[in-house]
Amino acid sequence: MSGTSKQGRFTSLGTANGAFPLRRPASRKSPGRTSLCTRSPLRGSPICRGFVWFWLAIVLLVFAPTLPVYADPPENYPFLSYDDGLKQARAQDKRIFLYFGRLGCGWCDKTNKESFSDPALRALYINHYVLVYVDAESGKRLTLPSGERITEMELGVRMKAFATPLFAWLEPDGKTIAKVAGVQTVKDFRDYDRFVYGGEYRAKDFKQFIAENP
Amino acid sequence: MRLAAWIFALLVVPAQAAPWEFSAPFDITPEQPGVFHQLDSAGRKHIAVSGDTVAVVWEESRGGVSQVTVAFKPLSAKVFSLHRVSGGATAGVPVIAPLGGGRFLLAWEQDGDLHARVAEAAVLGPPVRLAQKASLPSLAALGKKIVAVWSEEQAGHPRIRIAHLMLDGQRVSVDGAVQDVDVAPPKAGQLYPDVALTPAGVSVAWEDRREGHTMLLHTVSKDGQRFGKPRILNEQLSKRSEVYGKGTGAARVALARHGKRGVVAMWLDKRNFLEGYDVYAGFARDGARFGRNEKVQDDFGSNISQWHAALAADSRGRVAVVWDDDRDGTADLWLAWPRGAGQWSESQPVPIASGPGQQSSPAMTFDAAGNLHLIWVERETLEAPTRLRYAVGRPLYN
Repeated sequence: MSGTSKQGRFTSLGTANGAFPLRRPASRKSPGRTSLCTRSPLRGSPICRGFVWFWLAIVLLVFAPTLPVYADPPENYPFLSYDDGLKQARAQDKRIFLYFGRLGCGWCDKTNKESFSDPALRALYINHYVLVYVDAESGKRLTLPSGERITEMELGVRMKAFATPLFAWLEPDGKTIAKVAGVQTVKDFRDYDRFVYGGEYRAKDFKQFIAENP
Repeated sequence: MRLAAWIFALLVVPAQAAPWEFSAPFDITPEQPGVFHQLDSAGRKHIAVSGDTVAVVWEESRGGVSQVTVAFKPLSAKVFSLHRVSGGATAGVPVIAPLGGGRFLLAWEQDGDLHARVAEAAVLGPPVRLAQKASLPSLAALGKKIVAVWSEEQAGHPRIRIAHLMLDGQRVSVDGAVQDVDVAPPKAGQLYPDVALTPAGVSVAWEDRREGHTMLLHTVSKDGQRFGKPRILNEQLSKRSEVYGKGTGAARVALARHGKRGVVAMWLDKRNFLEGYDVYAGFARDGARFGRNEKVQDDFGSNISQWHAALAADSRGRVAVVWDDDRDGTADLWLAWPRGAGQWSESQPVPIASGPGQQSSPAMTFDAAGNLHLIWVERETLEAPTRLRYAVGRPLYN
């Protein structure tokens, strides 16, 4: 299933055959005999430390699929708030990459796991942009370059954030260069980077740029 | 097919004309360079009528600093008198409740704490701090009963708190202990609460993030002290994926008394990802259990996001919902009202708040005669300074 909206392309969260993979049922087995290692003289021995690490790994493996998965910013990316990001972008004369996400958003989660997990993409975006994350439903305040103080949700109104995720590339002063909604692949992000970081946006729009530079 | 739909719409619209006729609008505050008016709070309770006075409360930002202002006018007058409500470094998210006899109660956030004060025309009572590390207040009053709800930081999570308030002349204070609305230990954020009072009790709804996405929860108390286990207000569709994400979004729930004992809820709902936020509502005829969710806007508003939805309802059973969307190119105000059996009227543009420029962020209330008092923010472009507008919709039939 895929679709289009006036804001951009959306890609299905399903698998190739259209089915959605089911979550693996979690087992709640007890780690068991770790209490042996609380007894002297075994306590603190290398055997016991290995034993504890072994069971810790088992517990993490078993319970990991049930841990909360939020569509927050991707892990290990230095995302800043809008205000801090704008300050930093101005100070460093660097463009901004703005990630407009929503708590629990499936497409944000998919993009995080399938695209932002790419180490080379991470390095590219950290190097080229100040990274800003905005929560689509948040009442947290930010200040626009005009001095107007609005909520993060209201920024979505101004940016016509019809759906999440919405990705936008901004000038250091906050002016929008380009934006796109929906799941983006590593290649999509790289294409936008070529368009924005390479300054191509000054002469042409993104469609024209991609047609000429596939 | 599309042509047929438009012809059908043109034929139907006159029969669906809004049951209010709006007067010419005027400014509460005019445009000033560098000044931006905000109507943004929990429940969007920015306007109230008490006795023969109408009062409006809003947040005004200049250079990144916000303060709260209230304006009053007699119902028959054409000019508002303005008064600064807040102090401190920055303040916002104000709400207002009518207390009767021309008196009002105001609540707002100021420097991270929650404040309230009584107002009566040009006289403001002393500001009182209701709570620390708290935000997003909402108020309700019924007879001598007054309650405030808000979101307060506890154990690392904002959670919903409620206080009964009492008045001593122009001074407001908390009556008894401040309580948690949801007794379950806080696991994640509880935000943007709203409250309604009926003879049957106290009804509270809020945004809840404990399930990893925003759900709207609702609970009710007969005595305003012990609340029942929260129930989900916005119906949950089956998940699209077991792997990615946690669920759809919903935001900015508003509650109001409806009829003698009932409560109506209204909110923004993202259950259909191809439609952006839609406006939904639900009715609890007994004030406690909500019926099925009802879609408020019409299908002409699909494929476009609705924003800033506000609710007005009263004890005589009147209900109206207003919001802004840009289906006609720029943001205009749209109005809908229930027609019974889960159906709502076609969405009608508010004629005095449509057309060129941006007309957005509405709030409204009924007076005792059924007049609809409407305010909104107007600006030429999204970057331009703002002005605050006001108009009255007279009922065409009773």
